Amino acid sequence: MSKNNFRHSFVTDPDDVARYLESLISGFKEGVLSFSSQHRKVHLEPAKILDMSIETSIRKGKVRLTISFTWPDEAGPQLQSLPLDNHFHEK
Amino acid sequence: MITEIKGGFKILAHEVLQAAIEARDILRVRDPSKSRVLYHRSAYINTQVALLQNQIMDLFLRKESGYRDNLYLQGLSSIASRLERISDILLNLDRQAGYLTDKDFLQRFKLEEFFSEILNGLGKIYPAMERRDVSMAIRLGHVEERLDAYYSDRFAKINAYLKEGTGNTGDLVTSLMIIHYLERVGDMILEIGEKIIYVIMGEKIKLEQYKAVGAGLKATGQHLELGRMGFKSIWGGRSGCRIGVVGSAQKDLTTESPAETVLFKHGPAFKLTCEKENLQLWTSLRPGLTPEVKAFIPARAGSEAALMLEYIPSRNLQALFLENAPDEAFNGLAIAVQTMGDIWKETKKTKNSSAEFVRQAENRFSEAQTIYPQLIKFYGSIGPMEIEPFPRLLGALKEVEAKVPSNYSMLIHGDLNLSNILYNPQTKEIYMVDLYRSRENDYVQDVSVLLVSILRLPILDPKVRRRLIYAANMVHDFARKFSHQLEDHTFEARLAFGLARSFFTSTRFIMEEKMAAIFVARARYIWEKLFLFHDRGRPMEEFRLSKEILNLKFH
Repeated sequence: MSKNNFRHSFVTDPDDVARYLESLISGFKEGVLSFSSQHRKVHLEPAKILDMSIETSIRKGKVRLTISFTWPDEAGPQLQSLPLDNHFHEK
Repeated sequence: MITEIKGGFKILAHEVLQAAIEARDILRVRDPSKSRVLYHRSAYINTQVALLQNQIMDLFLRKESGYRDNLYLQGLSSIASRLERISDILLNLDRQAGYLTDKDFLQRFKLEEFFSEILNGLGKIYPAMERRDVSMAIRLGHVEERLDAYYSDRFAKINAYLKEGTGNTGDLVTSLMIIHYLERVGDMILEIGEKIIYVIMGEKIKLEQYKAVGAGLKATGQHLELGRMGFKSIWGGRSGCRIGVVGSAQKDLTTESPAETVLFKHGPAFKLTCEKENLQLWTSLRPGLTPEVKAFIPARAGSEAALMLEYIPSRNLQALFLENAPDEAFNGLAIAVQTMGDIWKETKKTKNSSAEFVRQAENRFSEAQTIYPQLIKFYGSIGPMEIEPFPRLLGALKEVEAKVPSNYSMLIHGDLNLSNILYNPQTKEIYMVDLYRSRENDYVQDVSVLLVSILRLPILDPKVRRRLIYAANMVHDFARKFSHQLEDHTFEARLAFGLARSFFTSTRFIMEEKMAAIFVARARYIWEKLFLFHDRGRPMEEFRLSKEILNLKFH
């Protein structure tokens, strides 16, 4: 994984999905989407105009809903990757 | 002569260890002078192995060595061949590294992790053989497991780089070759461990336990002559016990009729004593369901004991599923849950019990973390939402679990996974084995272990996978019905705790990180659900986990 990326795969359910989406929505409203893992923090500042796509697919017994947001990285380094101490708030 | 051979073996083991250190340093910083040293050392090792094997052959031909020595020498000869192959591989590493265009390229793959395992393993070979130390030899097997895990991890990384198209393709392919070689060293170390165990076990059967073994065999009307006893090691027991099949040396041991063969277990005295007592208890409850105890040889000087059991030549349910006999496996499973249900019912006592699933997960935490550090150590946040580190989540859940003990206590198997249930499709009979964890406790322990042992089978074929999920649902429905009859109101919550524990700890059986991630995610989901439910002040009796959690597919 490149150092500017964040990835977390998890199991969820419709009730729970709302919590994740709401947290993203508030990020869009505030203009900063923040993600962190034990290794790094990633802050994304969405542009004023975004490309958004919604795609559904059903095949081989698997349903997928993909929502993606894309914007140019023109304004310079919008991604800030701050290396964190491995033991940061690990108890 | 033997002393001379032993001396030669010691030097050989030391030389290969040195070669590994040199290879590690060369991969760290290229240095032609070090490469020359490694090259000469490798040539020296080849000579040393040839010399050692000649000496061994010489002794054999002169027929001066006894049985015990022969076993030792045979073992030594094949260990020497493997050490020679390790040395060849190390030399190849040096050659491969010569192809790299970027001299610092390998640093990103943290090869020192491989080497620290390899050095650890190589350092144990001579002492394990000299001290006849079975547990040390077993640890050589663990070295291989860890090297495999590193290999899959690095393999995935290289694969990702190749897909991204970033990085130098040539160097990536060279790196792939290098990690592949390192993984091969692990295989060699494992094989050496098996050889050492073969030598030690063979000796033990022969010299120390022969009388007891003989007595056990006599009880079955068999007689084995001194020197005609064969031994086949079955590697793969995870309980720290070595398992072997003893029979007459001339035949293929695995296909012999049960009357001629016995199962021999050798391991920590407390485990085997426990297993023996449990087997006797189970035999009194259900004669024939578990193997008969033929002989028990208590610990002598050390803490190791031996147990001889009736050998049951049936396949276990895991093997049946994997060998594409899902119908037979399913039938065996149906009989097994029915039988377990009867045993639970018969031994039921109204007395609180707890399987302490959270503590079980905590106890296996560091092992899981060693194999998949990235997965297990993960914590972070998505906006204001915190993703808690596992230790903190588990710490909080202990209290929650303490509030939902089972109101009953009954005899459980204790490790009811598919490989511990044997089934004979002809006679439609099942057998339960590996009972050392059997005790009076919460039956949900058996239910959850069994369910996850079904789901973790690495079967991708969609048709067979559907059968597996169907089988898991069958077990689940049976257990739920059983809980209704008992009016066991916290069953669902306890099952959730049990499933999360088994999903989490099953990662050590899974070699693919992607698949392990699916299990870890399920464990986290269940634990978070349990925590939130309790946190919102809801009564745990009302906790329900969707049955879809069993619908586990590897996409």
